[in-house]
Order: sequence, then structure tokens, then C-alpha cells
Amino acid sequence: MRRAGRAGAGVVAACVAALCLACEGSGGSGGLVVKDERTDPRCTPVANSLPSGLALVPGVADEAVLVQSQPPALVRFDLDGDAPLVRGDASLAPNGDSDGDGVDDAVRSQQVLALPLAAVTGEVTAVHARLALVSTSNYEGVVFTDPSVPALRMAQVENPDDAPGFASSDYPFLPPGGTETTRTAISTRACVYPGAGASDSGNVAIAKDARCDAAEPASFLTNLTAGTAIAAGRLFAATSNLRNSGQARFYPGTVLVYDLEETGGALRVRPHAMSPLLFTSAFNPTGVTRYVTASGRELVLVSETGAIGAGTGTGNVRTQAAIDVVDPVALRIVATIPLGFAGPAFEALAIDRGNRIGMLGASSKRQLYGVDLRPLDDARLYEGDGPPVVLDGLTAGFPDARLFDGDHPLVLPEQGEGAPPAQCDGFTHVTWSHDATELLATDYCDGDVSRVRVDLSGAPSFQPFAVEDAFAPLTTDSLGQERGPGPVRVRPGVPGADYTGPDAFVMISLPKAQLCALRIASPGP
Amino acid sequence: MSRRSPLCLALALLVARAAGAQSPDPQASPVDEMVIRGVRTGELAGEPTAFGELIRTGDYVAERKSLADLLSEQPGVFVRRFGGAGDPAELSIRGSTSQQVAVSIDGVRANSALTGGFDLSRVCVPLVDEIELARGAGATREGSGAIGGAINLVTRSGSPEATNRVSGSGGAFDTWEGSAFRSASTSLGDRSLDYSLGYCGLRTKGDFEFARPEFEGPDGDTVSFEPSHAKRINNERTQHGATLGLGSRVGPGTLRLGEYFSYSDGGEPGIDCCNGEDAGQNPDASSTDWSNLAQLRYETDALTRAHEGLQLALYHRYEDSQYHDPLRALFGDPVDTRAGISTPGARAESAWQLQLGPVAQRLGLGLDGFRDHLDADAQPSHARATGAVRLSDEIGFWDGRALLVPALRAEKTEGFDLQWIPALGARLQPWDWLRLRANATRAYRTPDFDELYHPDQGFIRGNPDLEAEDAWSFDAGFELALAQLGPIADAQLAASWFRREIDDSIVWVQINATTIAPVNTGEATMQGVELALSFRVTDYVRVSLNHTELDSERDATSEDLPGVPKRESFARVQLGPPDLVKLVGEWQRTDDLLVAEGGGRSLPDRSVWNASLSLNLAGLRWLRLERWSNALWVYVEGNNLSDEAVRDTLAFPQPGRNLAAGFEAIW
Repeated sequence: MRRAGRAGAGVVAACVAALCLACEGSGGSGGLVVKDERTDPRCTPVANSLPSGLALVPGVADEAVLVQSQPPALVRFDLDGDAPLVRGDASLAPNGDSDGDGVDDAVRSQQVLALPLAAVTGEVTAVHARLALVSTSNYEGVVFTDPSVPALRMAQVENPDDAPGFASSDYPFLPPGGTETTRTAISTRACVYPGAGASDSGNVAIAKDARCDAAEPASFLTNLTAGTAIAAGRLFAATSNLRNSGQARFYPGTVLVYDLEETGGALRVRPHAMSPLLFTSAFNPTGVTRYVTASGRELVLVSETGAIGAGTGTGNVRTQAAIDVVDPVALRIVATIPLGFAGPAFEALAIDRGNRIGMLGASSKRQLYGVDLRPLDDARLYEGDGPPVVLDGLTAGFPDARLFDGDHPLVLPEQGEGAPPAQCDGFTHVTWSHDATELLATDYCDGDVSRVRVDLSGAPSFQPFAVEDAFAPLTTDSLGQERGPGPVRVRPGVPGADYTGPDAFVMISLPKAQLCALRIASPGP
Repeated sequence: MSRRSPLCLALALLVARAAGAQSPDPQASPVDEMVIRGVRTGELAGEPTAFGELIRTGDYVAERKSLADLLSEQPGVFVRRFGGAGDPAELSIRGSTSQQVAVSIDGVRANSALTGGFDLSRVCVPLVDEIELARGAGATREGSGAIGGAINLVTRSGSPEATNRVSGSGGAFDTWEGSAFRSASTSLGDRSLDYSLGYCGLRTKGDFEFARPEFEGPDGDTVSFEPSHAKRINNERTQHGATLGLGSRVGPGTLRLGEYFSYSDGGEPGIDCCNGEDAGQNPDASSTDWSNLAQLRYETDALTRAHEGLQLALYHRYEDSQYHDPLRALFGDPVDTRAGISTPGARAESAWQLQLGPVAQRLGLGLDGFRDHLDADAQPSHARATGAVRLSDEIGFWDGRALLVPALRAEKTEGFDLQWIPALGARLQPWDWLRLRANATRAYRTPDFDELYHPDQGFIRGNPDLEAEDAWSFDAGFELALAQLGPIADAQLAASWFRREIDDSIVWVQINATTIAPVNTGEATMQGVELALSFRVTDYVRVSLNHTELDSERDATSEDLPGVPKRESFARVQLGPPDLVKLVGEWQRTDDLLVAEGGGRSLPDRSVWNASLSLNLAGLRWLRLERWSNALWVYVEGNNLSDEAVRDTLAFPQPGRNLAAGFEAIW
């Protein structure tokens, strides 16, 4: 009896102790290690399943950087082996702070926008061996990184004083007007005023955004930061400005302009106070490319998909696409190349090493688009400040720069046993071979790499001649296999002579995020 | 154990004699029940050849077990949890999806017609008396959905003797639970009326801390979320459950009304996804759901000499779910959706005993019909009716030592082909201490409303062209029971092998770069072994162990299926006089868990330790509580004592070490 009594007292004491102390664990004091194994000898996995950007590092023949989404990081790869080898990574949002303002992005976003938004990584642009720009959405910005380490780079970020055509309050995530601070990114969240009567891609009127200047008749905040480029000492960042994802409606597209100085390894960046943004000709600007004409004129080419949905096929494309030609000095769109109902892919133009042809993949079909860039050397385009010249062959005195557009695409040959067209009708990415004699195009749906022979000796000619079954098609029988190839890059140099490893590198997203190395032109070991 | 069910009696036959020492004697008196804990491996009503368990919740008194806890401890079962108390949990049997397990409450299907699954967290264990678990079986009884197996939750019901139960507990993460139940009988004129009333509730803040994944690549490189730990936010939840039972003798039978109601409301934190203090969790989304199941059942005694009785039931199930997410306003309108599904149905069942010479037969006939009607904000209304006929026979030879059970079900659901579901089971008991079983059955599953009609939101949509899933299941095994072997008593060893071949399995997959939709996939095979051992050493030490090996792959690619571990082991030791003190220790080891199709990405293996100490104060005579209560248990328990980082899916964390204390009274 006495023993039982003591036991009872012990239990009661234990109950009290449990309630009082609660003794809650940390949910894994030893951490939680998720193992990623190589399931394809050509491929190296990175965390999670949505890699968002891939770039070769200029001046470093055997390195590439890849942006992984979660955790957000820039991963540096050595490309010499049969599979890419990870050489390090840099968190793009240490402790949730992508712009280095000392405040968690979600907390800061909650304060400013009443929405707790964290940075979602996007494209990467490798400017040179010590500078790569990574765009982020939701918590909109461009993050400065050093791909050689890799690591974040600090920059002096300034918000200019108010001036005609510029209000510092239109950049709610920048420091107060007239001040500067040290950060790791510059915000691309800005108030935009499209003017009275403006409407979105679905012809729905644009109202006022309460967070912007109330005196303006229509306004919205930029979102979905996409491609970036640096030209003429300026940073250009495209923002897609999605309004309603379910209805595929977009606000007018914009390219934000920043002054950027890089001296002695120090970065200094601020919105351009005179002309802080450009409205694009078509909706949804995504790809931004620095381009230098044969005569040495520096330009920025902005590819715009038009309004597109989240589906596939022709019906997925709602409005017309275009490529805008931006004079980075005058800060105006000098020309536009309409692509029709093309729905190009979101990448920057792939330009051959002779700077002659620009190619784009397609977001909704198994095809490619291309433009002839030689007309951009025409000095008349840069005279005056009139509306952009439309290079569709209908503008008097100017040629048609279109090689392949929505009405006349470069169709990649179908293979049997691909993805069902009703579900996945094609989603292509394209790049040039090292010697510009071939195009390599991946198709997310069919999992293959198409090879197109290109002859630029005279009038450009394009002839698809081979399809490599690099990855599995998006069918139900291939669940779990390496699928969903996206951006593709070819390393510089002559394969077999300058290097012996694989020559083409493809980012795939299924069944998990991976960077894969292919031997297209490179002979086997 | 004071209560004996037919199952226990059948089970007792297994242990009536020591191994090999006795000749077969089917008329032998059963010895004491062979129960090590609340699980009885034996015979399930209506599924005499199936591998299954009967779990009596009363055997877990003062242990604060959830339904997910009880089921996860069974061989062949994997419970996928999406958090802690009140958070969703779903059931997988022999590698199935949750939609491939038929869940019933008092014999009425409780799977959501919207999502096909069943959320185990919505069940209050204090209101449940028994859980019947059939592995790889149930297709001819339940029809669509019973591919992995079936469970039936038997709620506490009225009884002639008055019974009262009250329980309460509190613990980590500000979690409080309570329940009250009363059953009794009363007179209504000249009629006797059994009644039962039950309530249970849960309230939790659910703000547990969790470790965040660190990804380790094949070359040893690592990348981590920052910070390395975060706290669950917007995870508070309130749940209520209630039962009502009424029963009275009417004519040659008993008329019973049963009501089961559940309500749940709380935050929806979503996934652990991003860097930052809140880990990308959604601070504002919320959901509310409730369901009600009403059943009017009439059960007669035998109407003729050969007749075993007739059961007629009318039922109605309603489920309502709402989801609200203001954050989606970023690129569109805030999400504010509601869906309700009403399912009226009727069921009839009867059986006859026939003796044809030395062969005893039990013929069964069942009819089932119901109609699901979906009414939702975000999509057009949909309705479909299902009707089924089931015939079965139980053919006994050699005084019941051999049993052959053929069954056939014909089922038709509007919009889908007529399905024939044959099954054949066999059971052989050459000696009292050995039982052999084997089964082969077809099973299928019609797509649920969500799979068919999920509104097209661009990035996700349903697929109205889906075919039904089609499967064949096979299993075989034995149970060995020894009443006494040296100091070991009531020892039971069970082993089973199973194999399932499934075609047209429905999986939500990426159908293009931006859209996820359900599709019929190719063939897949799951096979494995289940082992269970239990025994006691005196009345003071009770041990049970089980282990499951599972190998599942897609036939076309030979790639492993994600989401279920290849092996899982469980051990439980209970010490102390069971009516006075229970010191329980449990260990569960779960193998690496694939989280990506095709393998290559896996959560680490884990060992989780739980312990509880319970004391029945009514057993302390000096307290003189026996006048007031048969049992007044107080207890303290600790779960995940080693504070493991536990996840069943990559993005949904579960709590670390947590303690709770409570009481349970029965009088």
C-alpha cells in the first residue's frame, strides 16, 4: 500500500512537472539531413525541384552558376567532369534577408505591403567573373553576387532625391530619398503610372493602387522581376507585372533602369532619376540581353512573351509577343520586332558569336523563333525621339528583321512517343554551338535535344537534322526518370581540343532539380 | 480483459494448447484471451480469411493515443502525418495511397468523396470503441477504394449497463483535450431504450519548433535553409466531435440510430519552404470543415432456422470544407472556397447457414447504393450514383478447420464501367496452434471528384478523362500461437507475404512546365512481408514487436515509389500490473523515406521513442475511490523523447519532444 502511495505521488509530481515545464523539444536538435543522390551519371542534383536560372561564367571556360529556388542559393559548378561538380554555394537570402537591409524579407514586406513575401529566385545573368545578377520575385529585387567564390556582393544602394519624373517614395523598399546604404540587392518593387485609361492585357481598366501616388489616375506595383542586363553603365531589369494568374492578365510590362557603377570592386546603384522605367511594347517582358552591333553600338534587347497562361499549345498564348530594342544611353525603345502570337520562352535571346542572329525558345509549342539583328546597326533607328520603328517589313525604309515568328516558326521535328500534345505541346530553350554552326534546343515536353544546322555564310538557313533522346518525355510511363529539360548552355572552346569533357549543359527540373552534362559535339572519353 | 468477442474466442482457439503437444480439438474450451496489448491478430467479422487486426481503444486507457498513433503501430501500415495534434494525417496500407484505403464509421463509408482520402486527425479516439483493420482486403465488402485495405471504426454505443467516461489532458504546444461519454438504458413506456452520448474536443496552438532541412548533395556539398530552426505559425486548431446513439427493440429486431459529428477549424500554415524566421509559412490561411454521418439501422434475429439475421440501414453523410487564403490576392482574388458533399445511401445485408453433408456453408448477400452530390463555389455541381450487389460464401470443411471463402461484387458507378470484383480466400487450421491463410482479390477505385473536376486554376486542374484504378492483391501467411513456453505466455508469431499489382494508378503529376493534374499512370507493383511477435512474461511484462518490409516500384522504369518507407519496425514494452500501473515504452524505426519520384532524394531514417506512466488511483484501496469509479487513471507521457526531426513529407514538419499529462475516469 505504501509502495503504491509513493508511486501515485510520483506520478502526480511528474504530471505537474510536465505541465509546468512543458519540456518542448526543438524538433530535431541533430538537424535534418536530406540526401540527394545521383540517379543519372550525367547529372548532379541541387536542392528541391525548381531551378530557376543557369549561366556560364564569362571568362571562366569551365564554370557555370545555377540558381536553385529553395533554399535560395547560387551554386557554382565545375564543368570539366562527366557530371558537373559542385564547387560551392552562396545563400541568396541569408536568414530570409535577400537585400541585406537587416530585416527578414517577409517581415519587411508585411510592413510595407501588408503581405509577408519572401524572395523567390529567378534568372541569373553572369556579367563577368566577379559579378552575377540574380533576380528575385515576390520580394522583388536584383541580388548582387560574386560567382567566383560564390558569395553575395555588397553595393551602395541609393534612392535619389525627388526630381521631375521621379519620386523616391515610388520605391518603398529603397532607403529614403536622398540617402544611401549598403545592401546586397536593389529593390525592383516600384510604383508605375501607366496613365489615364490604361488597361491590362485583358482590357480591364487599371485602377489606383493605394500604395502609390494618389494623384495619379492609374497605378500598380511592379512584380515578377525577370531578366537583367548591364549596358552603358546601367542596369536594366524587366518586370512581368502579372495582375491575375488564373485569368492570365498582365499589367503593362516595364523595364526598370538603374545607374550602376563598378569601380575597384565596389558597386554603386540607384534608380535612374530622369527615366526610371520604360514601358515595353508587348506584355510580360522576361528576357533582357546586352547586345553590341557590328559597328560597336551597345543595345539592350528585351523579349516579351505577351500575355500567356499556365497551360500549353496555341490557346495558351493570349496576346502578341515582341522584341524591343532599347538604346541604353538615350533610354528609349528605338525599335520593336513583333513576333505575333508566339509566346516565346522566358529566357534572354541566344545570340550567335557573330552577333548576327538572335533566337528564342517557345513557352507553349515545340518550335523556335529568330530575328536578324543586323538591321539594328542602322543609324536612323537612333535619330530623334519618335516612336519605335517596327521592323516587320511594313515600315518604309526598314527591313523585316523577323526570321521565325508566331506565324512562321522554326518547327522542331516531332518524335513519336512524346508527351501528349493536349497536356504538353512543347516548351523549348535554345542556344548556339560554340562555332555558331548549330542550334541546340531542348524540349521540356519530349525531353529531347534537337539539333539544327545553321548556315550563316549567306542568307541564313536553318535545317533540323538530328534529335538526341537526352531525357525522358513527359509521359506517364516515365515518372521518376530524368525529365523536363530547360535552359541549355554550350561551354566555349572547341570540344575535344580545348577540353575533353561534355560540351552542353542542361538544367532539368524533374524528378528533381539537376544540372546535367551532355556530349553533343564532344567526343566520348 | 473482461469482455470477450467472437474474435477473441476465435483467437483463443489458436492458443488453446501448447504447440504440437495436443491433438486438434475444435471443441476445446478457449483459454484466457491471448492479448498482449490492444491488438488482436485473428479474425475480422465478414473477412474471415483476411490478414487484419482488431484494435480495442479500451486497452490503451490513459495513453492519449490518437487514431494515427494506433494505426501507425500496426504491421503493414504507414501513417503519413502533416504536423502534430489536429494536423492532417493519412493512412497507407501495404504501400497504398490514402485514397486506396476504404475507411468506414460503423459500416458507412467515411472517405471524402471530394478528395478520396480520410483525415485520421478528425477522429476522436475516446468516442471509438474498436478499430477493425483489414490489410489487402475489403474490396468485395467496401467496393471502390479498398485497394490497400479497409478499416472500420466502431463507435462507442449504448449498453444496458450504465457507463460513464471522462478524460482530459494538457501538454506541449498549448494542447488541451477532453472527452465525456455516457451510455445507459432507460425505459420508454414498455420499451427499453439504449442510449449513448459522447463529446470530445481538442484545442491546440500547435506552435512547435522544428528543424529545417539541410540538403546534402552526392559530392558532399550541403545547402541549408536559414535559420536552421523555425516555429510553426498559424497552426492553432479547434476540433469538436460528438456521437449520439439510440437503440430499441422493434418487432423481431433492434432499431438503432447513430450520429457521428466532427468539426474542425484552424489555421493552415502550409509548407516549410523559404528562408526567414517564418520559413515561408502562410500566416493567414485558414480552413473549416465539418461532417456528419447519420445512420438508421435495423437488425433482426434469425427469421428462419437457416437464417442468420437481416441488417437494413439508411444513412446520410455530409461533408463541408472551406478554405480561405487572403495572400493569393497577390496575383488574383483571395481564395475563399467552399465545397459540400451530400451522400444519402442504403444498405442491406443478410446471411444463411447451410449444412450440406460434411460441408457447412454460410451464404451472404449484400446490397449497397448511394449517391454523391457535390456542391461547390469554384466549380459546377456534380453528382453520381453507385449501386452494388455482393455475394459471398464461407465453405467450411473438417469441422471448420478448413475454410474457403469465394466472394463476388458487382458495382456500377455512373460514368464508369460496371466492375466485377472477385475474391477467393482460404484458411487452414491443421492444429489449434497454427493457422494458415491465403487470399487473392481484385480491387478498383473510381476517381474522386477532385481528381475529375478540380477547377482549372492554370497551375492545377482536374482530369475528367480519368479511368478507374485497377488492382489485384495476393497474400499468404501463417499465425503461430503458443499458450506457454517456459516463462513466456501467450506468444504469437504472425508472418505474411503480400503482393499487389496495380494499373492505371492515379497520380498528380506535372503535365507541363506549369500545370499539375491527375493522370492514370502505368503499372506498379508492391510486395513485402509483415512480421509480428507478441508475448508476455507473467502479468507484469508484455511485449509486442512488428516489422514490415515493402518493395514498391513502377513496372515501366523499375523506379521506387515515393512516400512510403521500405521498412518500418515497432516495439512496445508494457510493465506493471495492468489494472494498477502501466509503464509503457515504445520505439518506432522508420527507414529512409523517398520524397521524389525516381528515388535519389530521401529523408533520413529515424527512431522515435515514446514513454508513458499511468496509475489507476481507483486501484489504490486506501483512497477508497472504488465506490465512485472503476478506474481513475492519471498519467504522464512523453513523445519523441530523443527529439528527432520527424517528417513524412519534405515540407511538413512534425513536433519534437513533447510531454503531456492527463486523467481518464470510468464508472
